[in-house]
Amino acid sequence: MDRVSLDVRGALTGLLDRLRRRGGETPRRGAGRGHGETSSEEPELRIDVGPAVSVGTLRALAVVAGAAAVLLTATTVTGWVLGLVALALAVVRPRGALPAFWLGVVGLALLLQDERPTVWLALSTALTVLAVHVTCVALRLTENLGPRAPVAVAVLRRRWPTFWRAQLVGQALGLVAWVVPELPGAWVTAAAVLGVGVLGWLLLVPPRRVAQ
Amino acid sequence: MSSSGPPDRTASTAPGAGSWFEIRSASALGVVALGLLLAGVVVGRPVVVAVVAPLLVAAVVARRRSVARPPGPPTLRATGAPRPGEHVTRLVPPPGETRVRLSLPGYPEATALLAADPTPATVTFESARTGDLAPLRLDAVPVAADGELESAPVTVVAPALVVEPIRLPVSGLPAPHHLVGSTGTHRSRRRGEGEDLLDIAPFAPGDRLRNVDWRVTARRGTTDPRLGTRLWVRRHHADAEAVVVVVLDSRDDVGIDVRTWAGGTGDVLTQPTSLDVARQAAASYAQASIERGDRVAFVDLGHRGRPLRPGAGRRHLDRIVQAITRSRAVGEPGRLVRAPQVTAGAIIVVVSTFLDDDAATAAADWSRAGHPVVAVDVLPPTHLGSLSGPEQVAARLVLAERTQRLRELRAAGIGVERWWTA
Repeated sequence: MDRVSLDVRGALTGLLDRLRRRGGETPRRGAGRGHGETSSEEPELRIDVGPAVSVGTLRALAVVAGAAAVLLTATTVTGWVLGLVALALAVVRPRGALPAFWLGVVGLALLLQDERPTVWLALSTALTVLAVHVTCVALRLTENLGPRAPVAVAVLRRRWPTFWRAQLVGQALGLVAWVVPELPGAWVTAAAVLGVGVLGWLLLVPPRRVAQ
Repeated sequence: MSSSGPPDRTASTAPGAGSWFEIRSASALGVVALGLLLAGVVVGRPVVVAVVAPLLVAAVVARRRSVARPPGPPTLRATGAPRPGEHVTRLVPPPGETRVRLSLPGYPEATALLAADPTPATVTFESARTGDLAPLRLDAVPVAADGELESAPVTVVAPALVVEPIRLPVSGLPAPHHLVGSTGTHRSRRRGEGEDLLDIAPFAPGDRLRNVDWRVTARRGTTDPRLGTRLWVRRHHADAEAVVVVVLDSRDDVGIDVRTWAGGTGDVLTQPTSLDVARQAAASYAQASIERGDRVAFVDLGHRGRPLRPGAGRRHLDRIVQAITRSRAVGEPGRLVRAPQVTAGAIIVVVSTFLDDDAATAAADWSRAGHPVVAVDVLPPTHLGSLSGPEQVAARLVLAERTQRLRELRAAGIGVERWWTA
């Protein structure tokens, strides 16, 4: 018997064993012989939640806003590359510490930024405040969701009031920052540090009230 | 199972249920923002303070807001009677926001972020399968405080779907050789109370007066004065019914792609397999026979239990369809030593892929015993193109054996019908 026929016999043995007899019995997959489906069609579970925004759209929004924030804050090529890489990681896997890492990179770039107060700086600050906030909110919305998952518009509507109020505070502070580019004097700095402490306490150690 | 089936079954995972905990990414963002705020103040860069302030304000506002205890689990309820095709399940989320993940064997997972809404969400999937479908599983995570807090996941399992095959009209059932009973749509050779005329004969003891044919009696019964008046009666054939035994070979569950015949691949439910087609064929033959007035029995070759006895009527048809729907081989059925016993003279409908000798041998045995036999072939059209060369040879050999088996059945006078048309 030549090699080809040997190969054929081996394949025959394999398939016939699977199809006809194995230990004297017809082989069956649990409750049947095989389960005979083609893998050409990809089945799908669809969730219809009414008006919704897809996670893909939100991630695209995060990419645009995040890239804008990076380009506005970083002043060197290294800063841009680092910021965009951090953004890419956060968009691909928006969970854990990755969004915070991106925020850290942007914040560091801001700290290292040294620009004179101009009209462009005012516009740049306003855009940065908005872009960073939008990026973080979009990334948080897409956390633990698949790329085609829907996010109900009702969820966005519930979160909108907090968003715009917080954004209003940020824009006001940005205006102050444009007017007063550096904190004047030690007393103001001390008051700011005290404010940070209170904020931190509110943020990290709040007794949570539970409505019954 | 219809929408009015058993109630939703819910099971919640115990750890952490009933309390909120912070989301890691939210905490990390808060810590980094707080650090940047501090650094901005210390270094004297108000711009940094302005950039991180919205994040901190939003987090503080969200966390200081009163939150209710984590809500109960969402509810899942199937809508409409399960039929092969599109299955729709209504998903009613609890109050607040909920992140859900839906899983069903053979399908990619689906996720969504929902909020309580008067209009419930719907979950849709396509399945061509019949019988018991795997239940839809939902993992739900309640989310609160604008995504700052979440609770432990809760798992909800939807009611199991039992999908009955669609029944199609059938023609061409063979005429029965042996009739039983005194009702039905078949004409017996015996005298009885049927519709078909047997003959006209003189009245005899046992004849009913209502069967007297007065025209014939007037014409022939009183003309000869030497004879007394003779009454003539119309005699009829008796009605009778046949017994049809539907034999389902549920041991095989194979599809178009020969590579999957040995198993080992994940469930893909968008295409019917031979078992789905076999269920449809068996249910269709059972319905056609009962509509014809026959009594129908059911035998499952993959199950060595007692067969369903012959019966007629809609309730019996429901019993048979239920048995067909639930039919599947359990474990490894032993080899068929001899054909299952069936009612004498019954019409036998054997529904099988005929990939092995068992069903064909049983059909031949029944035919030799004098039963009219119909063999219904439910093997789907096979795709061999994706196989390697040696595998193609092996598959062709198996299919050639099957073809030879069917040829021998035809030679034995057994009608072979091919059911796969979809």
